[in-house]
Amino acid sequence: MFGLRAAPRAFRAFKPILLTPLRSFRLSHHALGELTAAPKKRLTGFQEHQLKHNLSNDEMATLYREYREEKTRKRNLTIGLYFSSIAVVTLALGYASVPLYRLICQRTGWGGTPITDQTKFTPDKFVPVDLDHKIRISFTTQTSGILPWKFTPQQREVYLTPGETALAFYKAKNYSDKDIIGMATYSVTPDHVAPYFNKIQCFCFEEQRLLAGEEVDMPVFFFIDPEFASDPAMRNIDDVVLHYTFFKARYDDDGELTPEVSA
Amino acid sequence: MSAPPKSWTPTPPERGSFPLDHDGECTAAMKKYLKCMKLVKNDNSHNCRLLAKDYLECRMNNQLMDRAPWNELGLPENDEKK
Repeated sequence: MFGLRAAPRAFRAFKPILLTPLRSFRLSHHALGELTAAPKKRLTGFQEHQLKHNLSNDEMATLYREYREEKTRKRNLTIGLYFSSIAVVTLALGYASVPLYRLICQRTGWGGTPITDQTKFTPDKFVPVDLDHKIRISFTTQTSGILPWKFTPQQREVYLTPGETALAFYKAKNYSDKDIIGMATYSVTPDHVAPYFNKIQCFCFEEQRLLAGEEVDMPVFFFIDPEFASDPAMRNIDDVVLHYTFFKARYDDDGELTPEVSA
Repeated sequence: MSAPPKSWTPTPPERGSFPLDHDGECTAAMKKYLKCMKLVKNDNSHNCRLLAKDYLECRMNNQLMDRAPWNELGLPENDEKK
């Protein structure tokens, strides 16, 4: 009689009585008698329900138990739904992070698409500074282990003054029997000189495709910002190293150039 | 040196990337420049810079570089050439 059909009704009826302490729901036989004779006292919701529907204490107990079970079930369901939705959102974020990252990179031009601004270097930057010593720029190279290219600088160093543009060459030879795309990145040491090292044009950040067995020259056209001379932190710098690293790159399924890090 | 090193990311070059000279059209100009540099012991001297200008001129003529006025590249203008 008090099966599944009763449970929802009981739950609905008892929902507002949530916090009623357990012991108050049962009326003793004596109290039952008193209530029917005596003037109406303030009753709990459960007691009212029991009287209204003329239920015995056992029937009330069953109903109440069913009510609690239903509540627990609903609470578990809610918690379960919350956690599974968090899991789904995290999973979605994981999948969405790849296109999101790509979008941000394309907007800001960081780490991939170069934003080139041809008006950045005005002709007044190219006034050689009157410095008593010349700065030595050395050239070093590195290639990724899986890139079968021989990549070397064609001059060991260049001595120049800040504000003077200089041209330097690297040479790369693809000694494998396949066409390979490489992508170069560079670094300037010491680190604090890097903001003054301005490249007008070079061969980095964009794909460089070498046919099988091809050897090609790669120029770098650069200068050191004349502000270098007026920076007190740069006073003792007279050696700068320009380091190029070539990675193997390939076009992935979306047509994006990505580095390959393992064979 | 107490200042911690600032993390620095490489910036792209101002004019972008040089297209590769697959056909070796400007290799001769490059070799002349490199020979000059060897002679002056890699000092960025004026006559070598003129040869660098020739190399870049070769690149511009062969569609390997966008044409730009020399003052924007920090190189002496043509009328200053001896």
